[in-house]
Amino acid sequence: MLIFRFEWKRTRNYILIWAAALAVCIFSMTPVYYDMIETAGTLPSGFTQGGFWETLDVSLTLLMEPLGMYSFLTGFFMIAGGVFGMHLGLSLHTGECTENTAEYLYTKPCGRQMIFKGKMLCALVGVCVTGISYLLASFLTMMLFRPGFPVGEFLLVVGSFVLLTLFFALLGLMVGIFHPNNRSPLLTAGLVVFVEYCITSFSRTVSIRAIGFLSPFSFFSPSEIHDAGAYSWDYMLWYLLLLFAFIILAYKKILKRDIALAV
Amino acid sequence: MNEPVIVLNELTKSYGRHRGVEGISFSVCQGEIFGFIGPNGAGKSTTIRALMGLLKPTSGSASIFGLDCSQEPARIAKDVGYLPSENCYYNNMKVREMLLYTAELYGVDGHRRMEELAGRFNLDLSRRIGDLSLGNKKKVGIVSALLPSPKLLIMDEPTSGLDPLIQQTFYDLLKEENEHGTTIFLSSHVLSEVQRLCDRVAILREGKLVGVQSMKTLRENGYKKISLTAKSAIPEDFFSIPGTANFEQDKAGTSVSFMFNGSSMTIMEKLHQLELEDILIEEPSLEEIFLHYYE
Repeated sequence: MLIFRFEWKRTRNYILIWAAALAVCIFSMTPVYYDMIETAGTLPSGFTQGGFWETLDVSLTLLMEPLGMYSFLTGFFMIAGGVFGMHLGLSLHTGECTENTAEYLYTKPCGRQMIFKGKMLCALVGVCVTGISYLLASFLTMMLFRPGFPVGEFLLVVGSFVLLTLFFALLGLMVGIFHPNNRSPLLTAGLVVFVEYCITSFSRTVSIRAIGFLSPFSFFSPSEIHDAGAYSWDYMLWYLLLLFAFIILAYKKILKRDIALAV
Repeated sequence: MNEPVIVLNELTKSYGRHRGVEGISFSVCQGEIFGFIGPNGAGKSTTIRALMGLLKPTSGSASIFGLDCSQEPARIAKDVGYLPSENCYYNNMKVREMLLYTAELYGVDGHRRMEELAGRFNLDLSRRIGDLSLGNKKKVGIVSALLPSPKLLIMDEPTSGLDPLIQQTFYDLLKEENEHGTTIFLSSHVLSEVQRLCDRVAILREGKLVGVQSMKTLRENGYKKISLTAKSAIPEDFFSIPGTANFEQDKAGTSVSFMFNGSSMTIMEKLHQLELEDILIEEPSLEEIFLHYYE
């Protein structure tokens, strides 16, 4: 817990700022987009019939519903959540190397195992804090502007945001352990998340579901949540396997590798 | 003989094409102050980082208190205070916070010791580490290493950046710690520092161990430095006798200087044959002994 407490102290402001920013944005943007529901029927036919909505996995029918519009918005917030998660996970380890503090930390009696656990716990708490703040802000805005939505489905949509952020946080942790010398973790996080998002859009455009296994954005399809009231079991299984693999690979690597030093 | 605290057995660490260290073997006994000397890039820090478990050896082994350094670094670290050569502390923390965090990591209450050490080193505990000068950051490192009162102190270039007064405080403190039973392993390229403090010394050159000698042996059984001036030119091969090294002669050929560790009778006979104007036989400095190893 000592390492966790220290890491939390170091990253607390960063996490809280992200959590607050995402909460404020979803709270204020949701009612703005609700106005679009009324105008959705008047959109030009070329726009409504093109592949644009397919890439976002939101049909116009779904978009006309309050929760559909919220899912559509959350799709974009998931990109922000992914960047936050990956940057947090990455910088927890790369920071020790680039700020030249690894030689201090790794020569103390806590051991690599405790350091790994402490940092991972910090990433998990960061994801939870952001997730809870996103959930509360979303719930509040829905209750204020479009009450009477199906709560189960709403929780699944919010869960998509949290699970995707978690995915990128653990991916970031693993990448940070494998490449601790990374001096641009935010750029790396942004690029990885954007590429993953593009892969999902591509898989939806070409309608090849298998490609979706390469990107976590595909695992949380708004239309599948709406139709089935659940996430796809095959994607979820794959998601859990990937999370497990990230943790195991990162753990094994941190125990075996030479500690990278900035000098 | 005291029990060995540090044992290196054919320790090799290579970084692909870059040289690390090769086949290093020596041991450090309990209660010793052991010096580890060599120029920059000789492999001192690599060896120390392998001892601290930061680097995994390519082959061979390193152990401290009988525990393998690459397998059980955390258990070893409980009894080891470590001062790295570079400052590696969290710049956004205050000195007090940083030192108390160190104490917590060691599971000790460091308040009293921290105040005592900070007082001796004139270290301001309320300042942010990032705002400190190089010398003050070094002081933070020294206090951090001494804070848990470890059984073994490993210090990599401990006095770089310290002013002479603080260096003296540091030497006094090390001697006190040693008197209380702490084993000290310190690397340096400041030979006078090693000369002043250490019982034994290991010399490292280009990643290989040149030798391990006690300071006493190094001085007593080592070379004498002979400088002399004769009235007439001395033949160039006049001192070509076993035990002569670093022979230098001036242009006129009347003044020579060399290091000698051969038979006293032989050199006396040789000197007797010369008509001497001046002669000086002295203990070479550690620098001269050290440089001799490098030739």
